[in-house]
Amino acid sequence: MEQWVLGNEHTRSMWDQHVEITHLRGMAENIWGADAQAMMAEFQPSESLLMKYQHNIVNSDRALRGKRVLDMGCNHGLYSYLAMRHGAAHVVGIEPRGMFVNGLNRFAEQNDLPMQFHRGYDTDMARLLREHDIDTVIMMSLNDTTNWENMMYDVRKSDAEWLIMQVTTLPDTWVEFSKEIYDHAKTGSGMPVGFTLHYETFNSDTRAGINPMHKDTADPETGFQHVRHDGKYDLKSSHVIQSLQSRQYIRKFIDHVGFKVESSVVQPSPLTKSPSRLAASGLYQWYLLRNEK
Amino acid sequence: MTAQLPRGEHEVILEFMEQEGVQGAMEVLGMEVNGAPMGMAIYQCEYRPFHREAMQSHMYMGWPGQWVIKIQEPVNENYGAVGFG
Repeated sequence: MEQWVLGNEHTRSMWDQHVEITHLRGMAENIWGADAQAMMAEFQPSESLLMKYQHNIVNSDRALRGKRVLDMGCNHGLYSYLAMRHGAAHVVGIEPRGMFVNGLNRFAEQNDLPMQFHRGYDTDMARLLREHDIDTVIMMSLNDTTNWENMMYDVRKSDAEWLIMQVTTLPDTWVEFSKEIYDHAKTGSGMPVGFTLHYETFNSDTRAGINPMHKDTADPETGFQHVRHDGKYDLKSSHVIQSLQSRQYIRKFIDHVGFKVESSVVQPSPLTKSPSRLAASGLYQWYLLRNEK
Repeated sequence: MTAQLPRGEHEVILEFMEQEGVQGAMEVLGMEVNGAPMGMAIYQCEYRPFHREAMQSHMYMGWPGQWVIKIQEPVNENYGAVGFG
């Protein structure tokens, strides 16, 4: 596999070949309204965006071309669009927040594109795979706030052939197991194969809608939690528990579920100027998995 | 209120009309940049009462003063969850 280099000209060239800026402007305007015009007037893809494009889309060409694709947690739908532009026959995007789902459906209809978007959650995975006859699943950055392991089981048991995964993984050296853990393993509990770190934090963006505690009362448009009686947003109360797993654990889990690893790439270097804390810390990892029967 | 901002750093300032007297209170409930709610970044703000110490991350203004927040344009390159990232 081609090694990603920051500022990779090949990636930018692929972007220019596949992306129509008028489409991006249309997507933004349908999602965020007229105010988004200013943002899109001089839009250029950031290094972080190009890095994700390379590893999720460009490197997954064989899993996308001619396939029916399910983009779980599609957010603003950019990667659904990119999958379609890279040859997907049809893309279904799932997202809890109405501002994205409604805007993206308007955009797809206006441009007669083979994409459709629905409000839904991680718990809908098995049903969606069946109902939409899915060949390829995209799961980007779902392993910190959703039950991604259950989704992996659902995909494995389905007829889907491919799973494109972007995960945030912690280096295995971040946590060293104590002697007590190995002593306990000797009692027959099994050897430790990695770790999960749990972080108590606030929602840093509009993802409150995927918080299981509040998803039923979140604002259906933005995803912000409604926790005040007057119906106004209270961001400071928007607590979430986020979990990040070690690289060894995620690899073990993939093997455990039974996927074949076609490729795996760890983010080669931190993007220190990125607004994404994960990209800035260099914690992204990508897997292209085949669901062999 | 909306504003078009050129590239670079800008200060958005909300200010009471007068420095003295009872004028009611003001609370900032939300802020959108390019149509997207800016989320927790809104707490990177400062409340500057005219006759008291400034306070970080305060959205409620019970005394006359200024509410100030710095905005980096282009916002889609500087704020997570704003625009295509």
